[in-house]
Amino acid sequence: MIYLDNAATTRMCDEAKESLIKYSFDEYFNPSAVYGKAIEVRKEVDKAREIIAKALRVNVDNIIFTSGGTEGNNTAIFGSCTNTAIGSIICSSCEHPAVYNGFLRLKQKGFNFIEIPCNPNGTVNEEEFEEIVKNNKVGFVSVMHVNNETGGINDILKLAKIYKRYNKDGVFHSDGVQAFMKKRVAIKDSDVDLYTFSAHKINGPKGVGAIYVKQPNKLTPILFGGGQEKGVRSGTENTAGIIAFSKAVSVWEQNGRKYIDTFAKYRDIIKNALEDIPDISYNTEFDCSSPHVMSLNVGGVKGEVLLHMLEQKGICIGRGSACSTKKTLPRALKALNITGEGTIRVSFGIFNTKEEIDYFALNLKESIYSVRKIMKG
Amino acid sequence: MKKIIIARYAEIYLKGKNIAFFESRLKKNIEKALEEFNVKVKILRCRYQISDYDEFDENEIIDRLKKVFGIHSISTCYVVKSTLENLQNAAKEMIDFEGTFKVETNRADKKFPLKSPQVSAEIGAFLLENCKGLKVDVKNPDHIVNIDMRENGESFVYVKVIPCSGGLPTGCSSTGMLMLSGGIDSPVAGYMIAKRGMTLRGVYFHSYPYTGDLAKEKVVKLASILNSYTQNFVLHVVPFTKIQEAIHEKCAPELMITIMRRFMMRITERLGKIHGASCIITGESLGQVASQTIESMTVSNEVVYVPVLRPVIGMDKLEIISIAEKIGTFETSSLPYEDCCTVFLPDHPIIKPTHKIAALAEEALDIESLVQEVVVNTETIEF
Repeated sequence: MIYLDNAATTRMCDEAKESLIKYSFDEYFNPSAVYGKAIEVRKEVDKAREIIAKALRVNVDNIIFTSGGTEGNNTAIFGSCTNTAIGSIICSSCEHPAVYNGFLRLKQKGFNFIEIPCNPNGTVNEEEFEEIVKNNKVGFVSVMHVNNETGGINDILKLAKIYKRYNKDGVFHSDGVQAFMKKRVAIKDSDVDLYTFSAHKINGPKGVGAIYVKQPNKLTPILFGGGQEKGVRSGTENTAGIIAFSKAVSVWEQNGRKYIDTFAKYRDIIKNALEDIPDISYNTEFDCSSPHVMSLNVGGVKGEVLLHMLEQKGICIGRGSACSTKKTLPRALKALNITGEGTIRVSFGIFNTKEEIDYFALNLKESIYSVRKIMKG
Repeated sequence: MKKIIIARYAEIYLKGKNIAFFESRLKKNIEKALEEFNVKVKILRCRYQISDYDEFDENEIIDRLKKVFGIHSISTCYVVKSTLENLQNAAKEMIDFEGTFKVETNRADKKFPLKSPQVSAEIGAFLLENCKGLKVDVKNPDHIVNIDMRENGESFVYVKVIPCSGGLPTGCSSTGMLMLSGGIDSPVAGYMIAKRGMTLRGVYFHSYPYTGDLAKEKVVKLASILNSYTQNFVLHVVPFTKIQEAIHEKCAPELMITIMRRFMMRITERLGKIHGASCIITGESLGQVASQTIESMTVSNEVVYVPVLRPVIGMDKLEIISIAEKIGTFETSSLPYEDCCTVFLPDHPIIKPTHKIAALAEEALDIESLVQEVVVNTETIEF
């Protein structure tokens, strides 16, 4: 099987797998316990936190482990927006549901929710962003770092700076799930207050992630219990997941630049292969998007049919739309006015090879020809 | 005090000399529906006694029994030796309500020293004295405490009567082939016919890669919901793509749906023949879409010899939806995955096809070999 849906999730790397097994079956102790074996596990969790903090170039005290991207985003949103007196809350119109639906919930609870319009590549329109934060008292902002549908990159440092210029007490959050280890920015000492990321997008296990929290004492917890993770996120630590996460981070820390360069080459190979096929467009400019995601519109076909045709040839890609009916088109794509039914998303991972990409490009071409011959989009 | 469940039938009662066949069929169906609970099922007069279960499982058992066709109603009962004290205590245990009540006694055990009205009076007085918030109303009570004194010296004491599906036991009315799309109507059509005792086999036409496996999984889920009523549902998944492509290539676009429906009928009849089925059931409702005009149905009917049952033919969409909601298929049917008919839907399908037009168009196709090939490659899913 050729797996090209790495923006959805990735295969775990061997290093992470070994830790996951070791800390589930051999060293399974609760790190809050006081006997030697448990203390050893505690030390390993601390070490994992150090590795992850170092990879983000932030202090170890600012890393809070969570169960993944959704919990991280929810902790950031609901832990910051505790009452409507903070002012308006804003996020981009093409945020992931893990952020967007949190905002809708707050809107129901009486918050004034303002959506920031997006550019066609899934990034925030900076001029409109500035207008909004200048003319409103805004208590909380969330802007994703890399768009999961298109790969479009937001300059979050710049946006955070603009925001704080007008709202110095406000909180700036970024969903960094797609960006983590792929598009690196120096968030330490920046105006970014909260940054969410997840393990399974970078070959770690599912069910574990973390948030960078600039001031942990200012974040109201959403889970209460034993006071773990500085009281911000109670619950017995997912020790095996956390340690496995740090192993995956180490793999990326060591090879990340090479991976990204390779993904960019893969993207070019596919684009070149499709050059002679009419009516194909790309949802991002390649030089301002993360190379691990490639979102394209194929005119005259249904994306879902193309996806299944490729599946028959042993290739898994992502859907640009859930199916051809518009009601199930992802909200983010609708926000970008990408309403064509032929949108597909190809996303690369560290286990892909050039041979796989060549095979994919060839079969994508063939499949487009076959589908266009038979059906309308 | 031992607890049991009593399941009553209704229509079977009218079956005269054949009653034993229907009773034993229903007993088997009850046993099958409850097989994982290791219960004992016994036939009593016009009802069944379900006993020896873990009380923890009681609610789940009730839910299963509600779906067994042939059962009209059920009650959970205490079973006690017939003494007044036992009956009074059992009745008290059954009281989980406030409001008006009366006690009704049915005394088959004529050796018992008190007569029915006396038993009712004694128990009623006891309950008034020992339970809070009760008042007697013999004419229009909120609740009836039933005392069923059996000839063997045991009594059943119960209050609630839970209505069930009714109908006839599955398996007593031959086998039918249900054309099951992912839509709202066909599961309802299947339910209605299964309720009359028919064993169902579903036929789903899968158009991979034009429809994805999620569309197939949706139909499998619908089939499993139908199986929760019939316990013997089988789903045939027909690989239909090649036929659709052939029709698309060789026939006029406006005839796509007409010819496709004719192929579906032929394939369903062929599968039915293999599996001993004697009719086809569809979820067609008159005038709902182009293939559901009387002309379209006539043209699709004419390629098969077996009868085609259309139980929802005269129903409005809203009526069908209300049954789908009741039987639990609506939510699954409403999932957005396309079925095979919508993928190749032409802009202007023919609404009033004729035999001549359809037969002429089909001359371009090798009907027999196309049908034979998909029948051989049909996947069968049991539940």
